[in-house]
Amino acid sequence: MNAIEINGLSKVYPISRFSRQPGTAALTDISLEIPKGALYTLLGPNGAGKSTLIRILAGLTPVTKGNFKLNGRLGLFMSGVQGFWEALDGRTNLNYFCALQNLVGSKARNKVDEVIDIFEMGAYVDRPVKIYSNGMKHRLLLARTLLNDPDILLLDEPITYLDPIGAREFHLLLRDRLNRTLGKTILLSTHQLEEAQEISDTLGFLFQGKLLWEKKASTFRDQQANLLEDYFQTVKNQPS
Amino acid sequence: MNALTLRISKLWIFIDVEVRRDTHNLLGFCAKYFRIFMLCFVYSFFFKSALWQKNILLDGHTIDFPLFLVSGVVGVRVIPLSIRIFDEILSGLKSSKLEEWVQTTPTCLWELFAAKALWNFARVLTELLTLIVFAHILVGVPIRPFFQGSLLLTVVWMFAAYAGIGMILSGLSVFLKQGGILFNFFFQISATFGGVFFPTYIFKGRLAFLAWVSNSLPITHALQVIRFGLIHEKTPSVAFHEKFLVMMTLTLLPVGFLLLQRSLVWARKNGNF
Repeated sequence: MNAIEINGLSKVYPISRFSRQPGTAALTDISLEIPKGALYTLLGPNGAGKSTLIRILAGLTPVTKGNFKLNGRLGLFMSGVQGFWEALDGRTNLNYFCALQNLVGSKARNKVDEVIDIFEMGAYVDRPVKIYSNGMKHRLLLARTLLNDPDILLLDEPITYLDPIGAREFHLLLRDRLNRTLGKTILLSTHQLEEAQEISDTLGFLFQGKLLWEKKASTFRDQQANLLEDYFQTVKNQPS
Repeated sequence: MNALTLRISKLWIFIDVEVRRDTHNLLGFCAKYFRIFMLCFVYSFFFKSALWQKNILLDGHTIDFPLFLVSGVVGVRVIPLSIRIFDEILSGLKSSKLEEWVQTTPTCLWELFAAKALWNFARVLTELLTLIVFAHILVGVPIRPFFQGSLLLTVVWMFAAYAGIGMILSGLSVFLKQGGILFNFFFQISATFGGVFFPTYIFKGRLAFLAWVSNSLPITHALQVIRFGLIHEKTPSVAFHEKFLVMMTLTLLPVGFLLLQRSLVWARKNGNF
């Protein structure tokens, strides 16, 4: 069964709020299916439409044409390390986010303890968020994403502010804890090709709003193909 | 857990976060109250040296200048705490990058607004109380529980009226993206022409149009009621100002609610606040 089904989805942004001129096409006729429990990574240069696709699936941006179906509860992780009340401690932040998800009382306490345990944040969760490192904040962001017990995780360039070691740890956390252990379906957008081919089941390449190819990540892992070479060739062969 | 219990529990958590955010820097928070003390102290100095026994004429009745000024300061403190409830929540979510995430949760923004409004109203009350106590100690403003009760009711109406204006301005700033200018402009207009520091009857002759501006501000009418309460006078004009303030509030609140609700729906359709 598919967790995400997208059929002929297009998005056109108007030039300005009041303009009647045809706008800029951010996505053109995207169709894809992501099975339950899969880790699907969207690749592509800046402006390819990755964030727009994730925003549409999260219900933040309306579609211009086409439709999509999500089979399961959604968790969203947008790029950036902010999104907390910095003066408050991690646990208070998580309690607040639980309340936003309609979780209060003992249910909220149990859920907060559970995510603290999953992401091993016990040592610092009761300290103010402003003293956290970027890696700690990323764990807290992921913990927040899991509060409503989502089946599908949408992660938009989650490692923007992490150093290479932090980025790698974060990706392994995604694959081992969230995807393999907890069975979450993950749609990830990233520029990190090496980690994308290491952790993903499927890779999709977006360019100028079009899905140019979808390939099994295992073909790159098994060295039958070179992802970086594929990436450059795809971009080079497209008309500018 | 039923829907009402859930709402109340959520409200309690949101208020708790608002309180913790405002009071985490206790020194800075206490400074606000200390500022009120300083204000009274400075005024008392002026009163004793130059303004003592100077009276202001209000609709045929006289009021001591200290009472006039202290009540003006009480009133004007309500404005920033009520007018920016909605804008502070929206800009807070935006600056902390919580905007998108909150939109994916089942929580309605109005629940966050309600928590902020309750906490800000509590702050208005504590600042009011601080002012009354310091004004009593330093300036000699009498403490009269009965009067303070009617003052409280007037402050409630005024808080609600400015919250309505805050909703209108927040709704407009969602469209215009120029929120800060609108709020500052409206606050300055209210503080300058609302009869806070001087009586509005000075707007005569060429300045008559300013009397019209003054009369269209909730603070002008609230201050009239408060000041007549202070001198224990119940004139027909007090009843007029009370009714006008209530009518203003009952008009501004639903208009503000509808405008903000519309603009939030519009903003959501377009992806951001």
